[in-house]
Amino acid sequence: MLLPPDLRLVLSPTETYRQLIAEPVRGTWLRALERPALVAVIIGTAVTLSSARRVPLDLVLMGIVCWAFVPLVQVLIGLVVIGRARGRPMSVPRCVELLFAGHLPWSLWTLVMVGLDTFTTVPIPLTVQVLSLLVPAVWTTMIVSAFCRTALGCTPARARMLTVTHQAMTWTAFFAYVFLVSGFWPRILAFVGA
Amino acid sequence: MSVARILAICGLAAGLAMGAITDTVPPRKPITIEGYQVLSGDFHVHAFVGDGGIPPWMLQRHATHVGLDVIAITNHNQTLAGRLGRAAAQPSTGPLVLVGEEITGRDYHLIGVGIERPINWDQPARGAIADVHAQGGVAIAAHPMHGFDGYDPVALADLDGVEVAHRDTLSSAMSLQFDEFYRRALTQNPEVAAIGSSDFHTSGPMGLCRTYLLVREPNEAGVIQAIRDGRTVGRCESGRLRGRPELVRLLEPYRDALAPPDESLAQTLALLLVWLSLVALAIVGPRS
Repeated sequence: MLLPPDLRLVLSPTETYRQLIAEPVRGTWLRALERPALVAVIIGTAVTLSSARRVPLDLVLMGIVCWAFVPLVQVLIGLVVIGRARGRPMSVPRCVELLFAGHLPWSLWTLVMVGLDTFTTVPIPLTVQVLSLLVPAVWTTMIVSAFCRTALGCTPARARMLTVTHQAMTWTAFFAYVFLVSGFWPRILAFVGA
Repeated sequence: MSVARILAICGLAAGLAMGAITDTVPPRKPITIEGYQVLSGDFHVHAFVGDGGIPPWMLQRHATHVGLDVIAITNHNQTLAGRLGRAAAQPSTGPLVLVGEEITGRDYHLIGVGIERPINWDQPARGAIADVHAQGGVAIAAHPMHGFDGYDPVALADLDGVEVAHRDTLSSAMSLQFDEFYRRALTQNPEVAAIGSSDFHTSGPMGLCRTYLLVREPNEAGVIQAIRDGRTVGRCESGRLRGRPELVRLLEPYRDALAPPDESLAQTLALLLVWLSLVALAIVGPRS
């Protein structure tokens, strides 16, 4: 049985990307935005489920709308990376579609954390939560690297550079958000003893 | 479309439908003791955009569903979310929504409730408490375990309340630190209010830990006055009541009536179905 492409991508990124770019698909924006929409549904519903422990439709829809900024930022970051790849063999929408096909590590991490929090009484220490971020982070880096090599047709050096750029922008956006919303500056000052 | 994808979408739809059907408001009877009305409150609630999961304009309705009469929206170092929540709330029909802030300083986190403008966090706790009072609000020491207990004796004496029941007190080691801080605060101010707060972010439920207030009038002024006078008792889940012994004795007969509503089996199944469907959808993706 053929596994779905999203799952094949996390198991064998380079090989799967080769198969996907060989498919005779005409990229459209509608098609490109399907996976970002799916990610918005996953994050918005999961956060609502975990926070409210209720899933009335209005709350879920509002959660999806509010948290849609996460895939939106990811699309923008993706466009920057794709735009930096000169001579790519495919259209921009098709590249966005293929980049987002690698969403599974982060989607599963989100859902596992929400599942543990909602359905078990096992307390997850903050250190464990933070350390567990390494798994999807490393996994996604490998997928993005494979995407740059195969889908964008970059040289190994250029692919490394674009992967670093993608991850740097992603983590900068993440920390900027955390910094803005959680009173991070006083915490840093306290940490350094200032 | 593959069978797995169709099943995942149907599962999600069924879970959401089941969630909607079982989404009831728990029945509650008003409790009055010696002329005081007993309210349930949660004074440490974070909202989106912030590090909370639910937008402020949805929090009042949510509070109804978890059996709360009053909440304070307390995002870090800002009052915008609280003001948005209050503006969207319907005071005549639902729980009270108060504007608050979690003043996130270097060695203390302080909840200001009943304020309008953000308080400067870059000052000692004593100054932040004075600024909260200057705006007519009340100041509550937030999760005052080690690292967040930077209150000198004057600041301790000025505090209106201390979180004695908090999700961190569900761990016995942390609970000892909260108890020790509360004892220190009592030596400086014997009437300091015992507060129960869920510190609600993205991990529910809101009202997991809550405060029972004995109020003269069920409005913002009545709530603020009850905290100022220390007419409160804190509690986590269905655990023991924490606070001044005479108040705990008064509320003890109403323990069960005041307990947070339980999640029904059907509600849990709905959540589980939604979660499993999301996992399946993530794996199968939108296309083959």
